Amino acid sequence: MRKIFWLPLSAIILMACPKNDNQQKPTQDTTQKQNNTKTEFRTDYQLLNAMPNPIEMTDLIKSSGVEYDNSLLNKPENIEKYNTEHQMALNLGVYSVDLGYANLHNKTQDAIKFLDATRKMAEGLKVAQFFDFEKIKKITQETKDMNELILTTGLGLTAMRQKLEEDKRGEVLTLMVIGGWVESLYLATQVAEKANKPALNEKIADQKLVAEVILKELEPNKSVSKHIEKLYNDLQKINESYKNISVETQEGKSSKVNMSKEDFQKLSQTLKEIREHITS
Amino acid sequence: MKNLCIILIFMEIIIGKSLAQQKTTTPPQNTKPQQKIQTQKDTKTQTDPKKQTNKKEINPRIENCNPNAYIRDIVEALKNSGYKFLRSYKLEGPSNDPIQQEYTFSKGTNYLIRAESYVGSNLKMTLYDPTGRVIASSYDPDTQKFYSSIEITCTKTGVYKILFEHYFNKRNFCGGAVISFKR
Repeated sequence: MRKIFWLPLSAIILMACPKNDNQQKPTQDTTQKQNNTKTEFRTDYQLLNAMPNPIEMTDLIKSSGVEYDNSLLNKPENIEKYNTEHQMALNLGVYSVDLGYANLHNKTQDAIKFLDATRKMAEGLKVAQFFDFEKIKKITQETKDMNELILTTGLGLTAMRQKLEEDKRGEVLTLMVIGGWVESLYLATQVAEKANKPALNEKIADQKLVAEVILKELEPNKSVSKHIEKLYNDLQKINESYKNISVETQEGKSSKVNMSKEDFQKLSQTLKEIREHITS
Repeated sequence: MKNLCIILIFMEIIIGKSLAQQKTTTPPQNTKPQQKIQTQKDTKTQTDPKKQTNKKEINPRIENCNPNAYIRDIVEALKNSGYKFLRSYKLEGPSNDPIQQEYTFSKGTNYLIRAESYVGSNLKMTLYDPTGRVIASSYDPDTQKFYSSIEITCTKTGVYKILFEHYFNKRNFCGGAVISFKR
């Protein structure tokens, strides 16, 4: 009888026991998402989020010691030209890099213009609420604390990215990331032409990996629209320019960058043309 | 009788565990984000302090998870560190579903990955290189200590994976993480 009484109770106890901790082991690809937007644009958010933040490149450009040159940047007045979501998303990426470049060089007046341009693009895409523009402007004008500025704009951009992901606006996010990447690489090549800095050259050569990642993201989407197809073809040209460029990691030594002057010139020219397509 | 003894010991363990869980589900008191949330609640529910106490028992820190509060704290700590902000991640969701993020690290750059979570969360971060090899962890099995950050100097450019998981903790994730860099 006692056995009969305890049997169901022990079953309940067993059911209440915590599961084996082995079950906590990570399941692969749990966060890998592929979502469809209305236009059937397929986005690999994990891949997009793995893309390096362009501030790393602009920081390296700044440390190269080459003087600030605002003629390299996209003119803030160009915002009038960008009426489609495609253009606005690409140039939101471009202007956010230009903003970072101006900020890092303490160019307050330019930074405010790029901040306004960034705001206009973000408003056009209905994601401006994630930037505290007034706070950023205040920091730019008053504190000159670059790190705080980078933090504040970085948090705004991250919040915007998260919102775009939540809303499944993968195409906008992808274009924004591509615009920022092209702009930072364009700036790097322009600066590298003026100063032969090994660290900058290596960083430029290293972007071959990122170029491949971006193409991988756009490849399944090239038939979504003519704009995307054109962008894909442009990015393929960048990839082709990287064909002979590589970085060899050497044990215990600094890396060996395989990039001839011709290879660099070809890459630099291709970037100039594609950046022109994006900003014109 | 022998069976009964085993069952009773088993029950004791279970009840003990359950009591231990009750203790740990009491809201942690020593974290800044916790204090912030409680302040907000205090202002809203001043008229009925009893209800407040009841709410605390179900752990408002996790129930009303606010990862941005943790991210803000990390960002504040970064301000004078020389590290520049790169990316932030919200850590939320069921405990049995580890959170995986990826980021492209560049050779020669120093990276700091810092995570904050509630007291007793046993949040473990593991960093994998592009080949899938573990190169750093925030948990030291020898001392059984959890650290809040991982700092590395990247030796090979590539896509690195960061895994956030709860170590012997079944409660939901609630926290934030930030990647930053310096040269």
